Amino acid sequence: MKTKTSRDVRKFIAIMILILAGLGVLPFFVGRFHVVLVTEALILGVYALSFDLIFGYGGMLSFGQSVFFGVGAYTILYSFKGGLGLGVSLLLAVFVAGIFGLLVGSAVVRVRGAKFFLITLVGSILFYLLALDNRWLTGGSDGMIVPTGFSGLAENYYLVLGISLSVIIFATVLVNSPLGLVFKMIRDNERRAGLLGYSVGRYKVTAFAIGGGLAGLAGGLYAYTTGFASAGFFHWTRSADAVVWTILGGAGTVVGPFVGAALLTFVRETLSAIMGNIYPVIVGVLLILAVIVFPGGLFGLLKGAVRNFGGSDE
Amino acid sequence: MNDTLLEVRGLGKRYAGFPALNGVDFSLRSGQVKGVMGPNGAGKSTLLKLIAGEIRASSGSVFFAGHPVTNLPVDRISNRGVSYMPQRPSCFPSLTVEENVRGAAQTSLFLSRAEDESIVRALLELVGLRERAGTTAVELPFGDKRLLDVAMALAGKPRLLLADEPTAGVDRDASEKILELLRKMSSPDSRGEFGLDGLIFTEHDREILLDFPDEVGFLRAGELIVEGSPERVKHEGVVQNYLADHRHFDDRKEDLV
Amino acid sequence: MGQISKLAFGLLNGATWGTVLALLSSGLNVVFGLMGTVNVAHGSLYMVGAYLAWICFASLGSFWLSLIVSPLAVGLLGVLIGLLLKPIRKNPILSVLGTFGVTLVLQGSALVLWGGTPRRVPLPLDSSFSLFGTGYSFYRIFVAIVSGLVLFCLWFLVERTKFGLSLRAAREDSELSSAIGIPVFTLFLLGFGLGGALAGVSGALIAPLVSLTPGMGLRVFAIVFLIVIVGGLGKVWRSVIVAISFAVFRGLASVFLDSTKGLILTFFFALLVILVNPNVLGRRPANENKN
Repeated sequence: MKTKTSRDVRKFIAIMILILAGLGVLPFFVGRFHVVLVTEALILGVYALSFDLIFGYGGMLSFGQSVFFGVGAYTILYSFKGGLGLGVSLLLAVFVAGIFGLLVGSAVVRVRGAKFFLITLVGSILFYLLALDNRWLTGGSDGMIVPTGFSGLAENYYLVLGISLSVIIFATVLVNSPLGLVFKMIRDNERRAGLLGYSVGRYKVTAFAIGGGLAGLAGGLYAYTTGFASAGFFHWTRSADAVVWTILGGAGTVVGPFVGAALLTFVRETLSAIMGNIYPVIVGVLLILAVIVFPGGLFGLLKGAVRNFGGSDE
Repeated sequence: MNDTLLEVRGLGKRYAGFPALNGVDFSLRSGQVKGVMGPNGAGKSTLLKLIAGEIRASSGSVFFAGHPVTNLPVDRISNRGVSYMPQRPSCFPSLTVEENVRGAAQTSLFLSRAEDESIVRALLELVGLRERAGTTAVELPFGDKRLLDVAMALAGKPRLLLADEPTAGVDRDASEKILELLRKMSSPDSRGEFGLDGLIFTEHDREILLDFPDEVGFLRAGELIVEGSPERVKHEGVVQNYLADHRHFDDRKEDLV
Repeated sequence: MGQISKLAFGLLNGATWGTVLALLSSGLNVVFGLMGTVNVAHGSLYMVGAYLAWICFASLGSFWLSLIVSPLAVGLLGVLIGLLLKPIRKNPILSVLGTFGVTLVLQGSALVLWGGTPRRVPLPLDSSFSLFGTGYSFYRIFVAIVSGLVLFCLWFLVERTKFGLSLRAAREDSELSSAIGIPVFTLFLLGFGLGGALAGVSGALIAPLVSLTPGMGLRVFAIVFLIVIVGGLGKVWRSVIVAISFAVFRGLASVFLDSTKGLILTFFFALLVILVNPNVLGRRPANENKN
């Protein structure tokens, strides 16, 4: 057993190094368009991972992740407007969105199952409407320019690549730590976790705060690299994106959300050139297939994440 | 060692006006084992869940080691040293056996401690699941799931264990293993690292009940109507009637909750 | 407009919209409340019903046809979704995700078939009456009456017939129900069909009053789901009351504030209701893990 695990780890590391090497030299081989696209895919991967920590590990199907994405984006915007540097601004985005995660999490973790889905959905609609309504703050649907000062596409790309790697390492350490084990226990069986002495609500809020902070980081990076933020960042369809990417890529894994986000970003870009409107139909079909046909196979981990919600077969 | 570990006073629970448990009084001394029997729906599970804090009491109070613990959140009662093992296997299905026990045993959130690891090894050894440490819990046979439950329930080194029908639905082999374990953990001379100060368990099996515990309580319709040594209790009329009806009657229908 | 006519207008508009919302939410309630499956695609079924009304008007020449066509066709669509959901219907999370997939497919197909430009169906009853100096269409009155009639039939079906009894029994205990010979899965499909038919007829009724876009279904879904939860699962008449108060509240808020602020306030209050009392669902779902 030990040998099998270490062989898996070695294989995994080998693959990661290959991918990394590929990503490292990417800007020398592809055009500007693709550099921008990969940058976006990586940011969205961080964003999807932030949802996966809440759903795939914490067991909560939240449709409110866009709130933290939007908060992160506007934190960066105002932080730049206030003249702060990039590093501080990004940290601030994580921090502010994390606080939002803490607050939102505290309000919603008592709610369970399908109602949890609803309440987070309505929450993100509410935030979107508020962002839309308060034009003085957000610029409404037209948005606002983030005064970043231009740094080259390649610089942005390497910045995002570095941050994505750090996030992957952070998440891997987290989910394999004792704290990560508690998250998985709560996902699998909330009741027993409580009986074993874990304060379930507090851990769920913690997962929400961490997920919120990471989503804020993604939103901040997105606003920084595109130089723009709008009320649309809060829109719940952006939450749904994270859900779809994570489930298609593999919930309850660290790399899965990146795979899902990257794949679908490329599919979207490729299709929009050919036949733009077909993309949501394809995503819908994939989602149905993922949920109904492969709940055990590729997406077996999703099943474990889901068992928590009293949806047993009895 | 002769002090009171658990004291239950006038404990009651009503569901929509219907009393599931009605003013139950009893106490448990340190080192004592108590068996609870009674027909289905008599309130056995309700009693244990009330003590563990899983459900809120409608009336009465619970004192553990001299401190009031009535209606405290379930995790706080657990952390005070009261471990509740639910009636049906209740593990973490997608995690391995080893992870299940580690999750129950770990004492730090950020570092894996060496002493936690040794506790996990000792527990797996104790319940005989070391060979299956890497198996996903959902794949375990029923009896092994129950043994895993015991290991998890002991992992926090509780003083008091509340075991809800630990042998229900389990085959003879595993059943004997579980009882053997519980006996060992609660007997003062051989209990070792995971020894218990007290044990309360519910049970249907007459042989087990009248042999193992120091005291037996008989619940009927939410009332504790007979209490005492197995020797005394088995001569009571109601108990004799019940035992005559329920010999080896082992349907696993749940109590009210 | 004076304050009084504004008030009357807000109240009346709210009440019309409220009866349609009530119809729509009782459709969701049949599927979610009585059968315990969350159908996120319910809003998209309503969207399909509305587009069918537009097709009836534009291609078949009569809007009125859609009052038959929409419920039948969308009801059938509902049955198909029920068939698709069979393996995951008891798991709330998987059914949310699966029906969300169905939503994307329906909405995307509508976009492909009919495009993103808003479609309009002219008012089929063009007479109106004057109310505090403002014209008010008779069609709105017609909508309220038809919705009320359908709701009454639904109430009768669920509360007073054997079919309704079996539906409720199947929700209480599906194992026991199949043991005593209630065909649980057939009922499940019928429930989905019924839910779909209700969504279809709501869509058809509302079509002349709004502009149709593929996204109209998802926009309304959150509101409808909220109404079902606040009103209580399985309680048809209670979701009717909540739907109408919701719509009237929103109507008034939109008239006196503006429509975004009205919506913000309404959502905010609905959220508060759920958060303050997380068990508005009545029964708490059993959280016991059985494996």
